[in-house]
Amino acid sequence: MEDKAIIALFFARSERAIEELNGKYGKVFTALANRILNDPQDAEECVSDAYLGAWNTIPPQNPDPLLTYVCRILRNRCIARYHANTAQKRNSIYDVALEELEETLASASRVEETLETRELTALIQRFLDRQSREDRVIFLRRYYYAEPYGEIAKRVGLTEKNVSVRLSRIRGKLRSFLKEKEVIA
Amino acid sequence: MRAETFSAALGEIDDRYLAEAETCLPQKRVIPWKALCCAAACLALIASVLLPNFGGAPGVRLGDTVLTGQPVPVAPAARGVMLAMVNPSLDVTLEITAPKGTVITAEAGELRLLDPETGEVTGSGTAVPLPGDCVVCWCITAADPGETYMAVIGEGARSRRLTLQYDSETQIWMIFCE
Repeated sequence: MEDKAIIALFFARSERAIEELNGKYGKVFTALANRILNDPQDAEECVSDAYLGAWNTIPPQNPDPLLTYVCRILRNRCIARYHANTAQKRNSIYDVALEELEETLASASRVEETLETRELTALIQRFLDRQSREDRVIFLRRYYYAEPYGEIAKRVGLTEKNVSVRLSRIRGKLRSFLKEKEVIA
Repeated sequence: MRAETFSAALGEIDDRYLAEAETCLPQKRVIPWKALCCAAACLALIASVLLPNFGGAPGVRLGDTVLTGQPVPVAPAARGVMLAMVNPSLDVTLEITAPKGTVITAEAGELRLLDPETGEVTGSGTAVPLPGDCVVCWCITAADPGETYMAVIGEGARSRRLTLQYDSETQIWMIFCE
């Protein structure tokens, strides 16, 4: 079913909207939640929460594309659950992705803590605008969607090794960019 | 900065970046066939110049002479006379350039594979597989001047045929390779 038809079902307050959404993108949502949480039960709950979030916000929202919209809700739910589970051992792909970023973002300065999320988001967008389309996709598939190297490699038609090297270079450029903007020292 | 802070900010980026990342279809790796074919052709050309036997028929030398379709004497005239008269053993030592595994087959006589350093016989028979470039002695006992002797190196389109013939005018055994 087309996204527009699914959204129309949401607008008509038909519960079939959730069924259709799950039928079309359910596997994508479950995979994303699993990569962040590494727990099938938590992942399933977060996916259900995301469907509820979509149900409560459409309408008035009329998202285009629908997948991006629900993915964002789901990611936020998963990350909230992830932080709630900090007492548990961390071993998800998301953890590994965060560890990669920790090294890039390490700084002796505390300046960045005063930076608001919105400002940091704007800077990230400026950084992304400077990258090639392929590098943007690789970066986001890794650090937004927490995808393993192998899946990213298939998506962009590179080898896993190439993806690893490319990500390392992008992180290096990110570090230089954030230094230039005095976000990190 | 903590990675979680960065990740939270990344979670707020504009939809267009996410849409781009979601709509990126798996790409097939493009294989530059044209460039690869050109490179292969260049390599083959270089190899054929540097390695005379690359991709071609086996090469045969008798002493310093490369054998072709032009007959070459295998022994001095005086010896040729003697050979014709008494039909002794005729030994023709050839240096052969051929890929490993190429088989040389003699219709008559015996082929002896010689160690190029010591001259020792390392293999013999009427059909001998060659270890690559090597020295072979083609031995014909009681060579009959009235006969023509043949041997073939390799098989198929790239094979070479060796022919031993007695030239009654010069009274010399001659060899040529086609």
